[in-house]
This record gives sequence, structure tokens and C-alpha cells, in this order.
Amino acid sequence: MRMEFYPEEKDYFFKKTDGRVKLVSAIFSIAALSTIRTWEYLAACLGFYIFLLCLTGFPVLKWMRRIFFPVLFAGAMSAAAAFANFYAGRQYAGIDGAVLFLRALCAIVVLSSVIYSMSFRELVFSLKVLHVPDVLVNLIGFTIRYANILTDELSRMKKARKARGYSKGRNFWHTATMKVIGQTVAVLFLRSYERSERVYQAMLSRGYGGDIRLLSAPARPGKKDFAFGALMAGVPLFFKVAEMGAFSWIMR
Amino acid sequence: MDYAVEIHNLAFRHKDGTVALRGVTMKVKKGSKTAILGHNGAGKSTLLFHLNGIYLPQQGSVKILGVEVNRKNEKLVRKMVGLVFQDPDDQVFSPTVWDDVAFGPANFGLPREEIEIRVKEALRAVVMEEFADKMPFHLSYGQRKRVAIAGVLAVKPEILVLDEPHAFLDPKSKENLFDILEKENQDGRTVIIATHDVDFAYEWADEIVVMKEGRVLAQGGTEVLCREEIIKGAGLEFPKVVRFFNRIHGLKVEKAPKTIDEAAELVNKLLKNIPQRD
Ligand SMILES: Nc1ncnc2c1ncn2[C@@H]1O[C@H](COP(=O)(O)OP(=O)(O)OP(=O)(O)O)[C@@H](O)[C@H]1O
Ligand SMILES: [Mg+2]
Repeated sequence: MRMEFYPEEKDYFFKKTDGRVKLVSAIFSIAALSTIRTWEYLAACLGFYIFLLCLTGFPVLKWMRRIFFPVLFAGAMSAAAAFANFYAGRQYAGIDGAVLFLRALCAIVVLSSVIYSMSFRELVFSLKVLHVPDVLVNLIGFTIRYANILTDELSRMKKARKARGYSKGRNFWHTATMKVIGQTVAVLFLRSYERSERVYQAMLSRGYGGDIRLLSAPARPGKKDFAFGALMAGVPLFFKVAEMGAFSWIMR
Repeated sequence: MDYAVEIHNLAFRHKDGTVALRGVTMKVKKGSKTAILGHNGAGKSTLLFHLNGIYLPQQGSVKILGVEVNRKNEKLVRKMVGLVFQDPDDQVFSPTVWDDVAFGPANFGLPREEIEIRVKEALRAVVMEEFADKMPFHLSYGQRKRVAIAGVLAVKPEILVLDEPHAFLDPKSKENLFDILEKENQDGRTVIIATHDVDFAYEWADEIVVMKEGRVLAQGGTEVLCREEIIKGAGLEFPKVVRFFNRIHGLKVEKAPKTIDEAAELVNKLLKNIPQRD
């Protein structure tokens, strides 16, 4: 479950598109999507976006496995909200729940696909160019590193346990299993904490002082990048504007 | 005499209360090759962390090239002293090998072109050029160790400190490391290593520091590694060449050989002096 930032994966159009443009478009898309109230519009946007991903060579199947848990979580939350509304006797509780879920789904899909297609370097660069403060960029960087350390330590501990003949009990309440799981979690956090401290010390000893220096400046985004970004953000914005009734005079 | 490192009565206690250093006093000459030896837990790594201000002295003092290490000038000290950590997983964290090696030079504000040159040189030195674009996590442990070494070579510090650089290296890489350290030293750098490899220390170093339980048991030239009371006391073993010559009774040589080659030469010379019987 490492957040790997696949630098060795094949190039595809979506990935080659400039990271800064993608990030800005994603932010506009999400801003529009999270205020759309019509579930048909949301579904249309989502369908269009996934179609766009497929068209530009994005590894949809691989990526879907990654967003499974966030989507599950969003679904559970929306369902809970819908039920609460339903029991409170509100009208359209189901539709409201669907809208809530679709909005969350859209946000997850847009943001995760954009980040998935970027290397760590490109992500840091894009955030920096967009004048995100260093503190925040560092925070994101450290979170990713820490998550990696955590999964790394976990896999090592798992291996070490297996090598010494440990196997899971048949059910969750098997006491020995519970004890091992408890210990694992406790030691995992301790180990990860100590290692992240050492990683930080290693960074310090190579002159790290908190500010981020950009090494590689990717070329300026070109026409293709802007066109793609406009398409990506344009569709949700179009539906948003439509919802606000801007086109009703055409229909009249 | 100019000293690269002067440590006086240094003591250090870890957060959990473990006392790792109990009054270490030692000096490292500028331009020398120093090997620090000692049993597991003797305090070698803890000592090395003091050399670039990662740990600050709790008692006593550490001076680097005449500059006292304290909170105010830890950054300056870090520029002078490059430290390769014992465990490469603590040090190598960037998404690609190239980024990791470039991390130090970038932090010290070098221009882009210079960084590119240095990264290339450093990766070539450890024979990892072809891995520049790979993710460090996908490398073998020994390869990661080499990346960690490259990451510090690229900074070109005046003093190079390596914590157990030999661990996990294959024979060829060990030989390669020998050459790297030799070259860095010839370029005028002071090189300090902590190691369990007595043979390497005996052959490569010109200064030996033996540690035991947070103290310096002995410091001196390589002859330190020929003295039984020190080897026994520190739980080390004699270098192989020394062991071999110790076994030959009644042999007196003015200068003990340091390598297998030198030893062989000496034996050949001795054999020539013995009249052949047939
Ligand atoms: N982060 C830490 N927290 C608590 N105690 C520590 C920590 N690091 C080291 N120690 C303790 O300090 C003492 C010295 O450890 P150190 O790592 O310096 O030894 P070392 O000579 O490098 O050993 P090795 O040859 O195994 O690398 C040991 O007793 C060790 O248990
Ligand atoms: Mg150590």
C-alpha cells in the first residue's frame, strides 16, 4: 500500500499533461462539482471525466483499487446521512444522499487521479509554483514519507513474524491473535516514530532547513495542456452554470 | 597540529536513560584516515551523531575544525561534516535515486548545473549510475547503502564520516569503497569510519580508536590492533595478517605487514634466505 508515485510506469497523455494545469483544473472542477445540486448533472460530469481518463490512457483499473476505501467511506457517510434525513421525515432524503455521495465521489476521483498521475517531484513543484506555502508542501511531503515508513515497517514486522512460525487464528476473537495484533500496532507506531525521527535527522545532516528548493523546472505548459485543462474544468463549470439557470433563456 | 575533530570528556544519555557515552576524549588529525572500532553498543554511532550536531553535547565539548559545536552553528558544522548513517533506510527517502543524491547539494544552495555534475560523479563513484531513475525502495540493501554513500559524497564535505560503510556490501563493492575512501582522502578530506571490520581498519586506517562501553579504550596508530590486552579488552579479534604472524614463533620483523600481499612478500623473502635442501 505504499504511496509510490510510479515514476517507471509508461507515459500516457493524461500523465504528460502539465501538473500545474491539472491541479488548477482539478481545484476548479471540485469547486463546481461540490456545489451542483442535480444528481443527473453530477453523474454526467463523473461519466464524462472517467471517459476522459480512459481516452487519455490513464490506468483506470489499477487506480480504482487505490480509491476503494475512500469511496467506501464516502458511501457509508452519505448513506448514514440519507437514513438520518429519512427518519427525520424530510422529503427527498434518498436523492439528497445520492447527491452527497456523488459530490464526494467526484472529488475523490478528480483529485486522486490527478495526484496518481504525478511524480512526487512534480507534485511538490506544482504546489510550489502555485504559491502554496512551504509549510504546507512540507507537511504533504512528510505525510507521504511517514505513510511509507509506516507501511514499510509493517511489512517487515509481518515478514519477521511469519518467519518465526506465526499464523493468524481462525477467528478474530482468538486471544493469541488479538494479543499479537495489539502488540503489532503498538510497536508499529513506536518503530515508525523512531524511524521517522532518524529520517529527519538524516535530512538535517544533509543541510535540510525547512525551505524547499526546486531542482527541475518542467517546460512551460503548452497549448495542449491548457486545452486539456479547460476541457477538464470546463464540463463541470458548464453544468454548474446551467444549473444556475443561465441558459434558461435559450430554452424559453 | 591541526585537528579536524577534538572531543573532550563527552558524555551522552539517550532519552530512555541509556548512557551511551561516558566521557569520551579523542582527537582526529586533519587529513587522516581514522577507524573507530568497538563492540555492539559501544557508542560508536552515538559518537558519530555528535560530529555534525545531530546530537549536541550534554557534557563536555566537540570541536570541528576548531569550531565548537552548539545550537548556533550546527548548520555550519553540517556543511563541514558529511555523515553516512548506519542504516540506509534511515537516510534514503526520496522518490528516485537521483533526487536522493541531489538532496544535500540542493539544500546547500548549489546551482542546478553543479548539482547535476555532482550527482553524476557521486553515482559513478559508487557504480550506481544506471539506477539514477529507479526508486530506492526497489533496490537491494547493499545498493541502497551505496546510494546513501553517494548522497554524502555529492556534498563534498571537508570531513567524511561513515557509520559501518561495509555492512552488507559484496566483496567487489567493498574493494570499490576502499578506493573511494582512499581517493576522498587524497583529495584532502579527513575520513572517519566506524566499523567491525578489523582487517579493513588495519589495512586502510592510519589512526585507530577503540571504544568500549562508552569510553575510549585506546587510540593510536595501527599497532594498537596488535596489542593483545586491547584486542581482548574490547572484545575484538586480531586482524588476520597479525594473527598469522603471531602464530609463527620466534619471528621478529621490524615492521609488521599490513596486507596479505605484504605478508606474502615478507614470507617469500624469508624463504629465499633459507638454504634449500634436496
Ligand atoms: N535512540 C536510542 N534510544 C535509546 N538508546 C539508544 C538509542 N540509540 C542507541 N542507544 C543505546 O546506546 C548505546 C550505544 O549505542 P550505539 O548505537 O551508539 O552503539 P554502536 O557502537 O554504534 O553499536 P553497533 O556496533 O551495534 O552499531 C547502546 O546501549 C544502545 O542500546
Ligand atoms: Mg552503530
